[in-house]
Amino acid sequence: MPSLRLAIALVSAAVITGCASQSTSINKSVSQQPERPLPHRILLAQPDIRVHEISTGGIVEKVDEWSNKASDEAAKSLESLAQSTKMFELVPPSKLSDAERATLEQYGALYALVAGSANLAQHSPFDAWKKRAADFDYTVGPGLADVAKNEKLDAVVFLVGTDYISSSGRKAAMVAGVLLAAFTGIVVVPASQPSFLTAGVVDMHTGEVLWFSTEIRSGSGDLRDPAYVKTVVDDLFKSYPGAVKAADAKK
Amino acid sequence: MRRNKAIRGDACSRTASALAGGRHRPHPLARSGAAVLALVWALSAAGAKVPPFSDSSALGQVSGDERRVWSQGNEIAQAIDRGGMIYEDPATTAYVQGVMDRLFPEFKGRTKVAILKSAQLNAFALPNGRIYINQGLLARFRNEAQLATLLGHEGTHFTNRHGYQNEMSAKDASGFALFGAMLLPGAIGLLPQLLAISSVYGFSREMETEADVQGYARLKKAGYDVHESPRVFEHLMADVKAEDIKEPFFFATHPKLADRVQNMKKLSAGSPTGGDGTSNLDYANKMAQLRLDSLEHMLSMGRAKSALIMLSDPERLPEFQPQVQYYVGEAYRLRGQEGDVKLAEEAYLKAIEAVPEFPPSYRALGVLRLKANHYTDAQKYLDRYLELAPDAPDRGYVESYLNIARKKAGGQP
Amino acid sequence: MNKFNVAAVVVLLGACAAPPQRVDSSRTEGPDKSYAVDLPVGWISQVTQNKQLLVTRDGTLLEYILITKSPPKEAFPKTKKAASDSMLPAELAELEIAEIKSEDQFTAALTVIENTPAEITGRSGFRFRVRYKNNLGLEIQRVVCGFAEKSAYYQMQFGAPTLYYFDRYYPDFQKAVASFQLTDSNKKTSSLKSQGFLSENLTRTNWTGH
Repeated sequence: MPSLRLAIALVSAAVITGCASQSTSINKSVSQQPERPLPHRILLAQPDIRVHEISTGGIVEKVDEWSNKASDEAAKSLESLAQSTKMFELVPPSKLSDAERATLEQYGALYALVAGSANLAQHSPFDAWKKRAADFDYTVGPGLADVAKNEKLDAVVFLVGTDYISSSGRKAAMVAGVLLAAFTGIVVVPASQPSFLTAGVVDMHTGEVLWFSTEIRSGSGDLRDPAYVKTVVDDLFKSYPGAVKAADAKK
Repeated sequence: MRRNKAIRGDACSRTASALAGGRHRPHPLARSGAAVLALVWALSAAGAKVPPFSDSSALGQVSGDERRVWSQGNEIAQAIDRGGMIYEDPATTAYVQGVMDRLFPEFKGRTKVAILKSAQLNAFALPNGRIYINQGLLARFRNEAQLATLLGHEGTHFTNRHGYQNEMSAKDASGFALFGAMLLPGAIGLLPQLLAISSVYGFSREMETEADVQGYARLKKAGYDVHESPRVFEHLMADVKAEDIKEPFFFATHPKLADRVQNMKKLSAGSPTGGDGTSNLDYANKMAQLRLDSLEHMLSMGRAKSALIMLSDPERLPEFQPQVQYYVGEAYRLRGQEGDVKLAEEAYLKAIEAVPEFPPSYRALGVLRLKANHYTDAQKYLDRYLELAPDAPDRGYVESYLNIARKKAGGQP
Repeated sequence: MNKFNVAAVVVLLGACAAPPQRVDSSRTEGPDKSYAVDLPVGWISQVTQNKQLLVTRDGTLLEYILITKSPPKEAFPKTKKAASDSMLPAELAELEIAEIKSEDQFTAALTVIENTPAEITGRSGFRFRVRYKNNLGLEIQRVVCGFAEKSAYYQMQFGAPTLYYFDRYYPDFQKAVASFQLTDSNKKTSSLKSQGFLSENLTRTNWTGH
């Protein structure tokens, strides 16, 4: 989903100053109708987490094995979260027919543009876009309604992420750079790249993006690490309306 | 000389001077750094070479690093497939694939050729064995031996693992650049970006030369006439000149086109004449529809000068289907130089004579006559166009022109 | 990455001639005040560094209206061709299609769905619709219309993914084109009209349907 990734990369470069940043949008149709029932059966679209290695000099390469592992871990983490919190019932993508999968793929491609636009609006410094982001009503249209009807689904969740792992050579260069700066005052430290994970829940009957959240982190986390993925997914879904309701109910 | 370099005072001269041990006083770390840099550079250059694949069975034994590079190739191939860029013509694609398999029999089934809907004269190989050749380039070749020259070249990029080598070289060299930047700040910080870009746009001069030479060997072994090989680069040169293209960025790292023509001539000088693949007619028959589609595409992108390279060659014209004169007319019309309107009109008339039932020629002539204020003639041709093509997608335009022509014709004999 | 991915980033991060503004009242003047047009209220408009008027509701990745006025010699920068008021509308459309095809490999493979004459603010012009796919296989459609005057070439375009967005927001573009007017000082008769090339078949009702 290059448009979403591009949007987040640019936002990350321009906006991120600290170690972590989360931004969340809730569809106005949800926030204006607090009693509106939230989706119960949610299809998990195949997570698309891409993990790259950065070489000593900054060449970036996607690693399939790491990406597949991170995607699987993200799916497992979300399944575990859904089961433990009872926020929703997660339905795996293997339940769909080939034709339904093709439709989902098309809408996934549209979702990439929707999510990219929403992300850019969320992070724009301009009032016009800030207001637009606050008046959140992004949608993919009602084209998934037939799939929803056939499979008795309420919504679909999309998980997209990117991570960058520095090679040992690059890590050595980072250490060398830090030491060089300390001893000589010459500062040439290879830049690290922030990682991000974004999730969106889309009502399959109406197409509304009900909830959209992005977690951007810089630091030593690794999306190949199951424990780290679990913390990122848990943190990401803390703002989900279902989680907020469940937490409120417990109080 | 060294003193002058020191006096110049810019960062590069300070760097060069430091490396040469000149009179400028380098940073204390730089003196030892220069020796380190030289060693790292030598090591990285030596480490970049890998042996070619021997045959298909070797493809199952590649390292994880190489699989990553293939994976990038897979993503590019997916984007091409999804993006509707493939020219879907099973017969032509099968023919081109057949030539590929003849050149690389030990990789049959593993190299996969596809034709792209593009008017530009270009072709490229991905590290995963996918070879892409543009419609425009296929249309430009005269015979199978020229096609085989190009496929021999691109196939060698794959078998010799140039994509992987280039990526590894870029990573090593940019690693060198980074350390260099640390020790000699300000000098070579841009290098990582440039090397990464060149690995996407094309291969190094050495690799292109290797692909030319070894591709040539394949051509010879497969029995093709090697004297056709320089003509591939002559086609590229003609196109670059016609469209006034500065040889594109990646050619800056390639041997220049003129050099490559000379290299091919030298290679083939000692070889006897004769060999397969020289029948221009056979190739023309196989490429008949593709050539017309390519012309349409080329003209729709405004590349009239490029189209005229083929269309103004009296030897080539008979190889096309007879309605080609319409495209000749269109090329002159779009080129729009002095005298071109007349040349266009002549060509349209020839098209009508050759293929009286081909509608576009009438429309084209009708419009020319309309613009020249010959309204009766315009009406005649435009009416005929709509008789032949009642469902024409541009009917709206033609009807509006007829309306004008009928009104104006009322005042003409 | 095509120019509208870049535009999306540029617009939303605001690297343009003036900050983006919400469209509060429909009637909007062009950057040099040579034209006025009705824009959809609630959308966000921005003047680009090339003095184009770019308008979108959700972000240009999803839908946009772009209005361009350029000197005739700079009308088609990629193909380095010029517009002229003596050109037929079909000829202008042809150059505009070549320009889109020259954007990237994806647009190079576009299909023209329709291409017809059109009247825009009383001028004889063209309107065409094309479709192509992006690298994820998502179909995008674009409608372009335009006309040439002696001193300027005007072009309006609308782009959106076919899935949901094109049909949903195309009527807003149709209204914008129907409302487009040159201001008084620019209301000179075009060369084509004076030569009688303005077809009487064309009316504003062209803009109520596809």
